[in-house]
Amino acid sequence: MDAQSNASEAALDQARRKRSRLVQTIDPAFPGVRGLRDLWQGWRDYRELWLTVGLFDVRKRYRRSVLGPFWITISLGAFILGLGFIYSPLVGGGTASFLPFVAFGFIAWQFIS
Amino acid sequence: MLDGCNVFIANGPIIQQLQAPLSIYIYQTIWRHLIILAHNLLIYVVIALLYGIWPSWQTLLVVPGIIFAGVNGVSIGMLLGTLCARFRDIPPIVQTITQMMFLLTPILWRPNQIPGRELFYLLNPFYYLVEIIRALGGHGAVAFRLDGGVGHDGGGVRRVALVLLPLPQPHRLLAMRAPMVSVHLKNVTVSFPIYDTRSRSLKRRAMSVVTGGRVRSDPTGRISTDASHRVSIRALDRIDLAIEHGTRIGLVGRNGAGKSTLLRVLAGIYVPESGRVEVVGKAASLFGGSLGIDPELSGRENIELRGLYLGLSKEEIGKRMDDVIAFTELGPFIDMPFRAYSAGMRARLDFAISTAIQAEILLLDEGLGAGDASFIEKANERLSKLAEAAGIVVVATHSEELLRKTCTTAALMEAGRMPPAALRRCSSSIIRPWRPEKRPRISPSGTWERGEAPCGDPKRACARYPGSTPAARFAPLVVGATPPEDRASRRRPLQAQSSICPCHA
Repeated sequence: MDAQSNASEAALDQARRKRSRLVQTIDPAFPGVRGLRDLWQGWRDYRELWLTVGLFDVRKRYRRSVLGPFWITISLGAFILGLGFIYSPLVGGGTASFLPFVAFGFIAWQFIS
Repeated sequence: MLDGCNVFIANGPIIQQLQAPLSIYIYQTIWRHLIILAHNLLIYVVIALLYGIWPSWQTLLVVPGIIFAGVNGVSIGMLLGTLCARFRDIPPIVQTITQMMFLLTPILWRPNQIPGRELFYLLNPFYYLVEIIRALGGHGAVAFRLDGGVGHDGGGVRRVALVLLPLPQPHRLLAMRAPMVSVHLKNVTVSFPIYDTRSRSLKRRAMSVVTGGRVRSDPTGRISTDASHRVSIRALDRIDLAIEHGTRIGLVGRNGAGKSTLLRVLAGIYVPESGRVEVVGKAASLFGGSLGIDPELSGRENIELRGLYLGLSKEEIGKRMDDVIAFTELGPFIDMPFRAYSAGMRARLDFAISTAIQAEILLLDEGLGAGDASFIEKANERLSKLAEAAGIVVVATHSEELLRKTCTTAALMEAGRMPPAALRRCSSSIIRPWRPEKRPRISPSGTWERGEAPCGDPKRACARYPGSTPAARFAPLVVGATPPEDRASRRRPLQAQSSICPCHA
């Protein structure tokens, strides 16, 4: 058991060893290739980091509030409701079709902007 | 988009402390927006229930739609993030355009309400992005016609699957038992361009007034201006250095001499402008500071965050968590928000988590170690253990005591340079300059040996740089050789007392 774990650790060591040589110089690769490499490394090696930091980002903004991140939902919900009811006569087509349209459009907009 | 613009600006402090691909900040931003989107989708669920809209197969289109928008976001973030960090006029431009586009995009109105002006939305890229996501619930006007979202399905699904797979972690900094490590720097130069048009022009104007139109010459030769009036500062200037296994080197020098820059180069954060850096072994940097510390989060969460930044996986952090908490001696405070901590408690947490990993190459920048006397003692003990276990230690310090305790070699940096002569053995060391035959010696009194001073007679000022002082006025770099009764004199600052002339390279 112990010998086995030692062996696996040694194998791990070897794997680490391979990647532990850091040569820094101006990357001769084409800039686009450098960018893709950067994207790929960020995706492959650092996923746990950015997943956590992104989550903490959202969580900390609503820390100490009772409803937490659901304030995002509520504030946008209030906005959409108000908008939907006021604008539906202007735009026409009735609240029943306009409200979902605005809701989705606005949610989508928030995501991309 | 707006966040993408600020992604590198907002993360600037972290970028300067962490060797990591820049894309992680973009992924992080997009992930944050996905979380917010997930919360917002609840509104849609409520509205759908209210109006009795039932999901259909078509609803599934929203998944590739969102992925498509997310992939788009990565490229937008890369582009805008870079541009915005360089040209600070772009963030307000983007903000203005986004505001305008909100009104021009069919969100508050329907596309069919502006007959004859279809180009308004047909040429509007935002329209399609919104429309792709709006396909959920069948509110999109053209969603069926758009194969953009569907076309990305395959890659998208694979990407989602990747998130769910067990994460292969890099184990970047984990302990290894005494492998041979080495650091080689050859002709390494690092310059920082200073993009600050206003102060530059003000400075120039002030300078031309004061000097009567003459441009003030820079005695150190470190500040240069290229043809397009871009100012850059040479932080490291042709550094040649080879550090071999078993060396513990202390960098000394006045503020701005390039010590921290050199450490960051060794950590792989800064890529040299010219020259080559080769580091064999895992470097761990203890730069102090606030890398990954968030005052709103609890001590425990901050440990997790910092651990992740240091390259540990969550599993490894979990294993070390109890040890780290025990070392901080914070007790119940560990679950309180970091902002409630006293300065000493902050330092304890900072130190405990930073030193939880064993490095092969330990890079230390001063600033570690506050706290009360007992903790300082404990911290020092831990630090020396770390240093002993590491193959190479590089410390930037002003503390002679630290130098004497930890280092085998001292190196004096001056104006971004490390002349071979600045190396000083603390004891039997293995450090050697790249070109050993060119290395002049420093006599025990700390002055240059006659004939070996960089610019001729050490007793006279350099003829080429009249403002500078002769190199002979280095404070003696006596490390570990001072007799114990001479403690008072050891308090004397170690750095060079004046700027030496730059023609000694």
